[in-house]
Amino acid sequence: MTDPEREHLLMRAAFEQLKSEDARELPPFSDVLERRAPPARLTFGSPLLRIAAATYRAVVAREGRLEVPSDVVSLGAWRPVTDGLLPQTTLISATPGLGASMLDSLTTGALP
Amino acid sequence: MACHMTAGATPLMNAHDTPGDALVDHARLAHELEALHPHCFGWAMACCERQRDVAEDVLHDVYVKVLEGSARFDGRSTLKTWLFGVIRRTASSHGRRERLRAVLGMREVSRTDRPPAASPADEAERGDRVARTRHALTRLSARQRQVLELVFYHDLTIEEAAAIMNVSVGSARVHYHRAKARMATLLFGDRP
Repeated sequence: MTDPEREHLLMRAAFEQLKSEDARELPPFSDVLERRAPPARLTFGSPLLRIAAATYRAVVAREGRLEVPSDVVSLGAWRPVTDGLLPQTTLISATPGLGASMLDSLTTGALP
Repeated sequence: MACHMTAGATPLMNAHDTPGDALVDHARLAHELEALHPHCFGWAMACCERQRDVAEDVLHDVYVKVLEGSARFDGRSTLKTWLFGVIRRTASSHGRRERLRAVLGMREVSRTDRPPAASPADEAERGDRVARTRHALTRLSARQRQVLELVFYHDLTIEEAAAIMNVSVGSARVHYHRAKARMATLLFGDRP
């Protein structure tokens, strides 16, 4: 008997043992057919519950932190920090006329 | 479910002339399933990484599908080959569902109605050999494990295994040879 043949027989014997082990544990056909899967439940350790709890703590439980402090400036009073770079803040406060040059208006002061 | 199921006439699930014919076919189908039950259980165990509870759940789903007619045998192969294909696909989708449940943290209530495993002393060695075989199988890829189980456990040909695994015969042959070599090394070392 060659090695591959012997190997084949040993392999078959190993699977035969596995098969007889399964046969010993074989559940009756009727039991499997009438089997009902237990319901899946959310457990306390579930990542979904942990995320929900963390969101609650961050948003709902610390709701006070979301209030706007009284010393925050209003949007209307806000000025950009680059304002100082402009020669005049009313540069385009009026719409130039159609076909008119904005540069001309800056040098001649035609615009208000 | 995408398996070899068609709505056409089948040897076991024909169009019925009367409700009585349907009952006869249903009973006949249930009888055929029961006859194949030991084979189906072994294959379900293989597809479910030898987790008995999972294998029984999968098998339950398969039997219900077949008996309710949502999975129909079309007679293009043997009933056993077709059924094994349904079991493989059902186990696969069951596995995906379980992985999703694990991500969501959903756990099934564990069953506690299992009788304790018998452990007589004279079966210790045999149990050890079986445990070694089971362990060696876990070291193989899913495809390699499946083709070995189908050929050595269920005495099917590589062609039949390929049909069940939904791969080409050439691919099944490659999986078979690689699996056999790896399994031999794991079980018997370099030489048997």
